[in-house]
Amino acid sequence: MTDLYVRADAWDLAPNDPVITAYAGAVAAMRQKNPSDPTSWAYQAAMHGLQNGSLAIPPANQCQHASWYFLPWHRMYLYYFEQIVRAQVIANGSPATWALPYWNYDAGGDANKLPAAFRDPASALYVAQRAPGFNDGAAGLPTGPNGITSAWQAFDLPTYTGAGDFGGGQTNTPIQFFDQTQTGQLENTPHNAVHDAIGGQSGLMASPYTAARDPIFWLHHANIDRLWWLWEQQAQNSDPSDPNWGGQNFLSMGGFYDASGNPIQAGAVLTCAGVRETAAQLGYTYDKKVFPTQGPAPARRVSWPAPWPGPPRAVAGPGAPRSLVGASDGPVRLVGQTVTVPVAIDERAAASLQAPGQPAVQHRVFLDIEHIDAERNPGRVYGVYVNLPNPGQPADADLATHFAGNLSLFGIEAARRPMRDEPPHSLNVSLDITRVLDRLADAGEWTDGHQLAVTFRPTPLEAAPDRADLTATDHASLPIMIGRVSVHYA
Amino acid sequence: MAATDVTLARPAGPALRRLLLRRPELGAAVVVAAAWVTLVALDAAGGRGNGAGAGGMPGMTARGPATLGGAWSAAVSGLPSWILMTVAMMGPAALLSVGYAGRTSLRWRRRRAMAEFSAGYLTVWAAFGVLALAAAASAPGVARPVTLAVVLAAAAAWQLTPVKRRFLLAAHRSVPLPPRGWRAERGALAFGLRNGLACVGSCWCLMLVMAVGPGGGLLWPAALTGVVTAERLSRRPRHATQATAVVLGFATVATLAVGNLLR
Repeated sequence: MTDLYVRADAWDLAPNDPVITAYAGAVAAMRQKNPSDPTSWAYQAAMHGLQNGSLAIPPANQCQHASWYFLPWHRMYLYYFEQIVRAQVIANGSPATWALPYWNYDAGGDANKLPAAFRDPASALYVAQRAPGFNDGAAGLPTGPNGITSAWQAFDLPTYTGAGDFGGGQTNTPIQFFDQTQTGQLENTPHNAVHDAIGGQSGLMASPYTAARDPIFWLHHANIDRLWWLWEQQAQNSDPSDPNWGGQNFLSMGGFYDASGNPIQAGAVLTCAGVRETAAQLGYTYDKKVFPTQGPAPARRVSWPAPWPGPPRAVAGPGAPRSLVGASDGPVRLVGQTVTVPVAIDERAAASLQAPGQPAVQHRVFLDIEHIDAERNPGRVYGVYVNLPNPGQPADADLATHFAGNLSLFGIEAARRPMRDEPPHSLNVSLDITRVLDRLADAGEWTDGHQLAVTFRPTPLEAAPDRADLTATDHASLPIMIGRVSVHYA
Repeated sequence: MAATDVTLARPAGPALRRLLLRRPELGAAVVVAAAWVTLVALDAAGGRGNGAGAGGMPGMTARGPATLGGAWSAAVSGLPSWILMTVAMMGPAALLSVGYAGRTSLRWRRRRAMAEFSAGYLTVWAAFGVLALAAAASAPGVARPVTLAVVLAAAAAWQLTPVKRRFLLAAHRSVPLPPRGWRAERGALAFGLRNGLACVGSCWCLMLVMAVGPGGGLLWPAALTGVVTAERLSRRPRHATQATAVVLGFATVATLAVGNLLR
């Protein structure tokens, strides 16, 4: 086996490190190329998304989101992009061992801020269209257990397939966005939330149509790919064995290009099953194997639904059908303030899921945020909390233990106005709240077992106290509409 | 990480119970199948000389110039057959939405939600049916192949309009349903009305073919059901409407060429 290419943590590299400067040099050169050249910056970005059709690029808008294809499609996309950049790096006289660095925003310290080279207006890695504060190093991504940088929740999930499970729900035809979207937890956080935070209301990263034009996009996705790589190495986890996943090669979306700008030929195309092992199948790895910090201490499993007579016996397995047991009565409107919505679990519906004469099964509990819509992405991330005490001024400890996940609107433009021939639609977010409820019940904080209060709380960027302008969360001109908040048992 | 104190279980209960959890629209599928069985039976009875008209449908036979009152009474008497035809022909395409109404409702009111959806959906189609049948009854007595060709050509042209595309896209939209109480009843009914309106807007021209009474037994209902279902299930709406327009274009030419041969 030849030596592996090693993707390095960008925050471990000085701004003048050859890996960073070679990337900047390649980006500058690729920007000079004709947009119709598949190895140009514009072309590569358009393969992910392109809103107006002015560039007649046949394979534009290929990106896969909100389904189980999100991770493998982006792994392939980065793999070919890395080869194209490497060829440019070599042409520029830089090291042939170059590999795409990643941005691990969850490494602590200043890692939640943009790496310095990307903030330097003299560098090709700088773009002005980012949320205020990031380009001057004043703003950082929200960290901690209820922030947006950690993948700890995704790493709590041993199942790849399913809305709100690690990798996303099953869809058998590749398409950009689906009605009843089935976003996976790693795609939701940190992926979507980081896109929104960096992009803000009008930055490139806020929309799939423009995101890949920002050089930081590729380091963000290398980090998502690294997190999948880490998850794949945990013994209890496995990628889908379903041939609909494993055999998918995305050729119907347009296909990829090699370092010379030639389309990957039919005999050489990658399939999802062909990108499961980065070292053996794709020849690259990551520099270190550091898993995400654990979230709040796991609770003793409280059998569900509570109270449970006797010790737990079985929990619903992967792929168990999910049934509605409660929902909000009406829609929810978010404009940057904290909003709490009551959701009552219907006893009759919950009881009806117990098959007569069968041993009782402990359910997994999912919180679904349905029919999420906005005219365009307001660039705001909301933390979603269950039964949060004093939602107006919550204690930090409560925020950590009642946290269910994040809500962000990344992708809403492409969902509402698809460039490809597909129906427009809204977004859904599904969050596994079994552990949250276990924790609350175990701590005696949830005793009635039926009344849930779901709080949407805007998550401000991290900034110095004198920069209140950077931590503002209002977006009155771009309200987020949520059709329904519902609870499901699997 | 998986908890170690529990084992993973298959969903409990017999296979049918599990299937119904995922696919609550199965009951509605049985109703659609029953509608087709009825159509086949009626067609067979018509073939034995009962004199039924449009596609073998009793009642939907009023043709030629009629008084206004006569047209309306013909339309109303043809309504049961029209609804039967709608259930059979639109049912396969509407099952997706019926299933959505069931799946997103509390388990004990799934059947109710699906029934409310269906009531709303069929109400829109029935209203359109009365208008279409009355129009057909009062239309001048032009030779059937010519009328049919005109309707088919109009249907093909309609397929290519942006309005048609908007209706088809609207048929793909789902709405959030409130869980309980009068809001739940109203929500499912309103979703049915809304979805029915989208489907009528998308397919009215195709169903006009049935109002004209094309003859040919179950050939037309079966062919149009295939077209409507394929269009609704396609993940590429623009491609689907264009493909349907081409099919209808061929049908127009064939109708003029073959004349009333199928009758």
